[in-house]
Amino acid sequence: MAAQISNGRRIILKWKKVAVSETNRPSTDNSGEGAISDKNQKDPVFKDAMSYDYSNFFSAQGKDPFDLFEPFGEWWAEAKPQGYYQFELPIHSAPSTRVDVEDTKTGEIRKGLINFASYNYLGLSYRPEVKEAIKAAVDQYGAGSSGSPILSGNTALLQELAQKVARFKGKEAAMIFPTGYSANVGLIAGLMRSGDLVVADQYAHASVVDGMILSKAQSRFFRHNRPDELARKLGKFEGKKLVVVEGVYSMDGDLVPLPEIVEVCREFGARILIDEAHSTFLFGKNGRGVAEHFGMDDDVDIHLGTFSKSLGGQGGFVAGSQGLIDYLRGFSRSRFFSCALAPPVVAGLIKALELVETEPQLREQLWANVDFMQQRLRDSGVDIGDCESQVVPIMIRNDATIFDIGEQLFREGVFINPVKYPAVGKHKSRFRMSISAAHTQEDLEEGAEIIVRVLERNGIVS
Amino acid sequence: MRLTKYEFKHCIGAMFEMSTADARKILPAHLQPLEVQHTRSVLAVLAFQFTGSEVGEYDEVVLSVVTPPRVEPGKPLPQAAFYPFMVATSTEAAREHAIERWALPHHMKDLDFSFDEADGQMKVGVYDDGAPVLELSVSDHSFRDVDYPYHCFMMRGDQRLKVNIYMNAAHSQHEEETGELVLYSHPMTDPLTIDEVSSYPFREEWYGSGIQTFEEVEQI
Repeated sequence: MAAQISNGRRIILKWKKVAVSETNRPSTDNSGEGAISDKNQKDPVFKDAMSYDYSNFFSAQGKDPFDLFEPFGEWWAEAKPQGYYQFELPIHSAPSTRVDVEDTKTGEIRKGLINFASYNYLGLSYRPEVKEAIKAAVDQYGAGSSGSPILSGNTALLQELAQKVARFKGKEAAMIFPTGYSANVGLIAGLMRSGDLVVADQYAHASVVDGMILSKAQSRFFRHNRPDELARKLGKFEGKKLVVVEGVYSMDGDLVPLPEIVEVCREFGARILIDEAHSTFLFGKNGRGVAEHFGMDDDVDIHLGTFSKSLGGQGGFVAGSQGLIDYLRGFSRSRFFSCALAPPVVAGLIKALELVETEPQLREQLWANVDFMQQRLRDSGVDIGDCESQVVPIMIRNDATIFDIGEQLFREGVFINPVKYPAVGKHKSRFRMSISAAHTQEDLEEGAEIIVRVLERNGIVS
Repeated sequence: MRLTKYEFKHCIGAMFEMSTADARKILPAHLQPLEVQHTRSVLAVLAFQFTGSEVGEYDEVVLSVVTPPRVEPGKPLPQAAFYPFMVATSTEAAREHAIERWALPHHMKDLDFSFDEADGQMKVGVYDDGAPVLELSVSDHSFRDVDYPYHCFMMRGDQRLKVNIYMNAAHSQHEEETGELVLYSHPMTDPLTIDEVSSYPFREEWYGSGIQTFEEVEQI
């Protein structure tokens, strides 16, 4: 810490962690006269690094964009070792139910951690059949597609995947995107225009928000899962209207109240898009998603999903009418200005989709595992909110302790993602647990035992 | 540097989504609104119960647009920054003091305040001759002692001003969306499209008994 004395006052020039204590607080002037004090000057007191977060560094003074870096760097140097290192840990194995993870704080590779962090909900990413299909595609097509899907990147495999997704979803057509993110961005910005209205649930994914921004349409957000608030936001707007909801919300694991939302959309003449990133291939009799779960497949205008979660691959899709897909082909910039999915990835997705269709027992096993874990945690007094899915939030509700608890879980054998502000609200910090059909009873029981033990030790459950 | 201190019994605050279009109309050209969501800026409502100051005891409510702070290397890192566009107090002396020293825009009439605390919730009412101006409620979370710096931006004519403010007290904050705001049509709320202000806060803050310290105003 560099400091200098200026006019009798110490000016701290560099970030310094200073504990808040009685001695460095400004004293209270109780004289009743003159709350002005020259003699009682206060030093600037920095909070400890963990009382700040990314949101504090969104902007900075100066004329150079790089002026953002120094204040952030000063903070990051302190904040990273105190907890933020728990993000982006290098994985040294397949994302199976046991995983080898590099501990960047100690340099060790922690082997065989119980994996509750990966999206691999059906355990398909490392299935031998999937890997064999990928190898065969490498032999035939090589590594990449080497072109935009509207130019040279549209392989026969990609076309086959689009057709199979459309058939699986029971829709006329589907379009494949390089990621789920680009699917939302390309769809919303490709469909909605300046002067239109897009209304999304407040917990909608960033890709929905970015699609709204790029569309230049009026944007509104309604209170989470509140059809009455949606109705208020749609109001008396006369133009084109699109409502965006998610099947399963990714931070809370709760479901959209689709029947009520669809009713409001009908009343106000709005089209509805459902993002089933976390629910396609899982929910409903055939695994089509939450819309099928509610028996409302045909009441939803646009279905969107990802391949990176339940299929264990990569990419996203939009499914709907032929007219929708034909139109998007010309207006969905995130698709046609991106390289098409690599053929080996597509081949793996086609095989994974086939397994979803031919092995419904995968979904049965997933829901049995979800029921077991939810019950096990609730019986132990763990707050898992209102989750109704394979995404199970383990609520800590204390931003100051989440990283410390996360480190303990990591060191004791569980790999699970901490989530804190600004990804969720202040003091809505939690661990986001992903349950997979591939988890064994032993995985689940051992993982739950570690989690409960650590939460008890930290006073989160008693 | 001369410091100005205000003792308070309670400081209740909450942040609400408001229209960015309104925020841009309110802010001077050199300030930008901080968006919490696309097209949604932040209205901060703060209510103070001051127990000790140069101008004695008084109550105050402050309506502000939240802006990015001036983050600079080597300077104290503020928790947030505000541009107060309407302040109201319960006494004329407090009003004149804040206008003269801090260039804060005021509603030029004494208003009445109520602070009702029960079961971890504080309800604040602001009234103009008995008619409600606004009603705000927030709930508490775990308290911890803090000394948080903030930036406050003001205008005096064409002069762009900033003052660093420190809040030293036990502090709780959360985003459980348990609070509520009711705004009534009144000159204080004229700059806002009331229907565009969310009725629930995305963040609730509560400072217990403590000290608010202002550094000197600087021109920016």
